[in-house]
Amino acid sequence: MKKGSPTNMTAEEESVLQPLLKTGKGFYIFVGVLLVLTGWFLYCWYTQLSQGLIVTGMRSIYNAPNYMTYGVAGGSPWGVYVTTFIFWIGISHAGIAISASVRLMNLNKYKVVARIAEVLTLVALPMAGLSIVFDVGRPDRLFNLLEFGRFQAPLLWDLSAVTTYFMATIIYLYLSLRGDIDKLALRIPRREWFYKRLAMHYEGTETEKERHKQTLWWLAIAIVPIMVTVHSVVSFVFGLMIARAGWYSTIFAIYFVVGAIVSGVAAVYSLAWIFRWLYKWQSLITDEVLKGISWALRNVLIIYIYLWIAEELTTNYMGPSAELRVSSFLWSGPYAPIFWPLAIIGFGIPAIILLKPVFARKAFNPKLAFIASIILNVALWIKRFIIVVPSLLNPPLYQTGIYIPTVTEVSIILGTFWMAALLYVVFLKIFPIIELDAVEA
Amino acid sequence: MTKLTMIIDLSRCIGCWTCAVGCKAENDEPIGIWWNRILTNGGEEMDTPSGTYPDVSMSYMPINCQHCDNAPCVKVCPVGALVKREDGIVFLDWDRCIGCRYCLIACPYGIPSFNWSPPIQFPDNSQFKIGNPLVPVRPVGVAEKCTFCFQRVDAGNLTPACIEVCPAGARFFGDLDDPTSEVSRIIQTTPTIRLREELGTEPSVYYVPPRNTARPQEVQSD
Repeated sequence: MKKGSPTNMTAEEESVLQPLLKTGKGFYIFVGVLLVLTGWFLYCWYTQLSQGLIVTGMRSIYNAPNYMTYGVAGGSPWGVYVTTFIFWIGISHAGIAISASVRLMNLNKYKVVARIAEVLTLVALPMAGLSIVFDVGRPDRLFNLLEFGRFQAPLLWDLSAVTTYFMATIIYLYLSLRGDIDKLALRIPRREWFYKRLAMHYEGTETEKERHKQTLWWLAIAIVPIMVTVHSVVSFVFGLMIARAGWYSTIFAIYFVVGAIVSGVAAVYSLAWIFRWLYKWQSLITDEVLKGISWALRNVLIIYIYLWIAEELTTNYMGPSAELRVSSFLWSGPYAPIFWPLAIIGFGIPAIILLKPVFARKAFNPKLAFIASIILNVALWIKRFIIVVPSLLNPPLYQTGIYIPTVTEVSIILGTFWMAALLYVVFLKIFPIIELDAVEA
Repeated sequence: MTKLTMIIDLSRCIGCWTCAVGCKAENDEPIGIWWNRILTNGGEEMDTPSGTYPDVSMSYMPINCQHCDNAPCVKVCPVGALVKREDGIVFLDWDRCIGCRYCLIACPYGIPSFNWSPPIQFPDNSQFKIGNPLVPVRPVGVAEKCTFCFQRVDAGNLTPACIEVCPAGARFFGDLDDPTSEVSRIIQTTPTIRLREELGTEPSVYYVPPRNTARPQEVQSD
């Protein structure tokens, strides 16, 4: 056999490792397009860094754009950057959630999607962090957070929770990957030098395997509370603000955690479906597995819609004037063209698609559920937007403001998506996206 | 102990914005930023009365930083750039602020402003310096707000710029812990309110409510 070519592989392994072995034209086009888009993002970010946040659509609560107008044209001090931050944290949520529950509850059937989910977490968290870097006015002073950080500020809770979560995820992913890396060193000799170093003297003995399994189990136990904490503290950034109608409520932590699980599970479903379609993994990621994920997605979605209704009822029934101002801004005001399509198309239609297998005899349709998962991901971004912005546009004492994101701003947040896709693709080319153990079992 | 306090007599305020302009000159506020604003109660636009003719009334609400004892902005600042000083001033350290704008979000009065672009002074600062030289120039990307003219207070002058310029004599400033001061006397003799007191922010700015300026109901003639 030619030196450097893959060796000693079973048919299943070859199927799982095909992204590592074969690289087609489509891949280069995809990466090329992503690189161009990332370049555009970098240019936009440079513009923002050199000119200040004036290039965004965000403005102070009370703001006079020039000396000819008085301060009636207020704006929203936070906008799509913070929205995208919540979105990425939400995406990161389900990754480890799925993986940890697979390990803790012995759901071996779903082990094939565990790594898809873990990598999603790993990619999403830096993007969440970057969104905050875009948002602050002085990114050069971010180290003040470490030097002068005060633990009474919810933003510092975020910082600590997210970094802890990120470190735990890296360790978790590495430990679950180590055995596979060791195997890869044998299977793909031309990259042996790389995998051998990365495996760090992994022997593959039974005791070692058992020790990894034990450690991962305990890490999974530790990660579950961290995961709930991470999204709760994101909600506390908003839910503790007494001055903001529409935010100040006890439901927020639960609301955000459930919302995060919805968006995370939806993202994992979308990715699992895409990989299955791309690499013809119908026998690995079976209909049964996809059905199970969509079942979980449906349940959390129903809880989310329930919480949403509870929130709307609370703000509208007795209706404190400030709360009514925000909710009428959404229900019948300038944001009604966002709110109603979001409720009906963004949440209603996926709920119907996912609920249908319960009532109809017709078997579960993976493609329809895929469409539902994509809609849900977009819908949850918009939902976070209409949580963040309308409350800020309706400040007490002042007139209703305007917020229109600029092209620069939107390019920058889209940049996080291109970069996330790039990182994911790089991972896909270096490591197996499905655990080799899961296939052999 | 000192507890610096401001009292604004709304029955005297004529809505002339002199305090805002005086403040802007003293503190060298760039274009687009006003530490002091004079809102018109109820009207749709500035200087328009509330109500429908003939039941109209007009009054103003000057708003600057309330220097709360339990300040939401101090609570949420992640780097401690906002501090409550011993004398009651809520001070923003422009050299430490990272520009997260959490104070803009947390403030119930919408007070802090943000330097979205590099500050533009008018007239141009390099040729014609008008601000008080003791006030540091704020860079791009930080928040800023009323400081009760800390530079004057620190120099022992208990007359912030807005107090000095107010032509209607509607503003008073002093130490509330000193029983002989003017503010103590006013608070003891006149009913005062504080803005959004129900939020528990304990503001240091007191308002003397306006007298009823609405026209008496005209007698129906039928």
